[in-house]
Amino acid sequence: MMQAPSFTDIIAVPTQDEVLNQEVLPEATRRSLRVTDWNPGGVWRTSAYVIALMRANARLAIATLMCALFEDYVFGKSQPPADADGNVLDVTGWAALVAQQRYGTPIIDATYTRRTITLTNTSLSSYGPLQPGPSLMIQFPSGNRYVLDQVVTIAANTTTTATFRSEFPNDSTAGLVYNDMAGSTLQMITSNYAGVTASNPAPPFSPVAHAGTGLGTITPSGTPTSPPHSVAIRIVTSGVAGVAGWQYAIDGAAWSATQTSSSLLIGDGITVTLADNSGNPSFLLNEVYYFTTPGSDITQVGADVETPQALGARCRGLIPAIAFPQDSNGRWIPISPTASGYETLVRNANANVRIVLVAPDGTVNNKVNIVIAGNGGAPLASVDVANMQQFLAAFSMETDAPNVSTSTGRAVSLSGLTVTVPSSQLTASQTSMTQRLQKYFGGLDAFTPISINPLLDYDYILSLVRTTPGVTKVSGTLTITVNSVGYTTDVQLPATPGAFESAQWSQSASSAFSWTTT
Amino acid sequence: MSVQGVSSSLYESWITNLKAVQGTIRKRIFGAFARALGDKTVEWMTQVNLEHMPSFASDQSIALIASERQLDTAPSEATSAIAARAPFWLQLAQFSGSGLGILLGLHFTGFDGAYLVQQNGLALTLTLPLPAFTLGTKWDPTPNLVVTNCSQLTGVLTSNVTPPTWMTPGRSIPASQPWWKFDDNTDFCSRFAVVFTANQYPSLSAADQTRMRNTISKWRPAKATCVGIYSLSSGQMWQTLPTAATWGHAGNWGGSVVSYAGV
Repeated sequence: MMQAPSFTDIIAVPTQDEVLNQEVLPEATRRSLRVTDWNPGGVWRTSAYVIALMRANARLAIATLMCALFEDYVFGKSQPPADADGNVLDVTGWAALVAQQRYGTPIIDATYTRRTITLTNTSLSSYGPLQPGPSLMIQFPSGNRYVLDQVVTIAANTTTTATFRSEFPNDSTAGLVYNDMAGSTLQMITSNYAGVTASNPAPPFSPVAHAGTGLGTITPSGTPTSPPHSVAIRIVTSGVAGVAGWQYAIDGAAWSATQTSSSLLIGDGITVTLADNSGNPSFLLNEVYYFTTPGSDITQVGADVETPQALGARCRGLIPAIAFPQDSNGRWIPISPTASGYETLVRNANANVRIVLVAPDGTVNNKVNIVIAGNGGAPLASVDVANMQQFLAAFSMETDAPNVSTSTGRAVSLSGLTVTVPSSQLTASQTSMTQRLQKYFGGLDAFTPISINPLLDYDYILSLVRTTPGVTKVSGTLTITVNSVGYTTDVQLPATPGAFESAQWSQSASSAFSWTTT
Repeated sequence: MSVQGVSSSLYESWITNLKAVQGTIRKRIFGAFARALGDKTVEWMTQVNLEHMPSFASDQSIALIASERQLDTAPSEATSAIAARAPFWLQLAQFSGSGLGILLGLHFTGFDGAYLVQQNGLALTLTLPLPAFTLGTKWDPTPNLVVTNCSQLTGVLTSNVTPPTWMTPGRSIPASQPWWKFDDNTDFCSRFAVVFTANQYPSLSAADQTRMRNTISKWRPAKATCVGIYSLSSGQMWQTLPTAATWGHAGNWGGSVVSYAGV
């Protein structure tokens, strides 16, 4: 009678020789066969090798099947134990299939980075209509290229804005990271539009995103002090501009007292102006408006394909959702979701959301703070926040008051080092170092990924500089400046207590440090 | 059922009975090959299938099943008990975001006797034993949930959260209202605490506290705030924020012993 194979046996992946010696030949000797008589090259020994190879392949399939049916292994929550030879079976490649087949949850694909590019035409020629695609391409100093993503006509002697998307979806493991800075020097790749130049300035304010259906508009203006800031304005009494009651919150702080003015300096140099836009009442109760300062040329933050771990967390979050009642269309009516339930709702609703923090409010009874962010904790566009707020509001929860916000970018700058490289490698090293530091501060460094409210690792940043290809010497003292304070140690964000911040490094290595060549 | 019950000799029997396979030696050789490649593969594949079924799985597989089904388990819990509970994971998940869910979670992580005291004056606890997990039978622990009122306020409780004119006193909760007082913020009724009585856990290790915190966070509604875990060793207690005020047996201050773990 055979003995049942153990867990350890099943997940082991032996070699052909191991199978031969541990399984095939023992079966023969068990039948009183003298396998030592089988000559090398003879038909029986050769057959035994063939059987061993086939069995080894079967063992690999068996081990894969065993592990691929355990979600902890599929979703990378843990790894199968190593076999005697130290081999660890990786079945995370099955994650997308398991998520789709068991949970009806497709993996979130990698997304493009989209930017608003300003096209200045100084010629007397009009170009267009140009179709989306590589007919119009631009390149950033990092080497990242973007293609036109909308139909546009560049009229003669005008300035036109158009949406461009990254050449490829985000893939940080392959070095496809599109966190280029606003205000870069852009190069036209396609040369058949004489007189046209491209630029990507960051406006002082983002577009105002609106969660609701009211016709009223809110417009920010002024010269903001000590940016960045994120601003939310909610309507507490319906009405027209000048009558409607509204409150504001800056950087996630508490809501202000109720205001009724149609134009008001709300602080930090920011003035907001309400306009009816032909509505009456134009501003509706509980609707929320969002904007940030500074604005950004980025309209969509690109993100990598969802990791098996993140996909698994999204699937696991569906389980508490069983507690939700459903409407006649099978949609959840969450009366009071758990934290993981909220996380799954939010992640399923928007592919740009890669990080979710859920925390009960410290003061307000039923308020649930939900902070959403993109890859590495990058702030999401105001429109994403508004859409998410609207999405959760549509559930009409009995008592919960979810309050969505995104992270706030915190400017970080580096200085103090003198970097020595061979003159022939100066440009390449500066470009490489810029990319390495952009990946780190963008949360895309594979070895030290950072997220919302990260610890900026002083030694790691220094090591990124020192190990950049071409760098032969680094002298001086690295200084990390955050909120006008220089640090020569690790720096813990947030700089503003209680805020949710992500690091934003917008220098280039060539300007951050002094460079000497040999 | 065990894998012995599905032990295979299918391929070896088949190949050794082929007319083309004649002679004792040849039958043995082909039998060995068929066994190594065919029958063992059938048996191993069967065992793989069984390893994913809680009633037949090995200890290692039970641990993985418990994790993927998000079961709460106690460190010393018998594998057989986890295996018996595993098929009922969806029934358990239905209590997500409820007080009963928190109490069930604490029970299965090894912490019995918990009371959830809510500021709104309700106290929830669980009577034991829970219904047995029997395959084919619906598992319903709701009759085990006991909800009682906390003690009534002996006087008016006036909120320290005041309207915009600071001189105006906050709203008042009248006397005789069942209430658990965390502080004077009468508006913040989404708060609760986990209280153990009868000296059940005179000292909670750091690992115990972590398991409790994780369990409470997993099951509570996202909007609810747990203000702490309290273990009353003796006497009586009231007001649990940030540390418990205690009340002596004879209605005098002092005389009680409470340990506190923040959440």
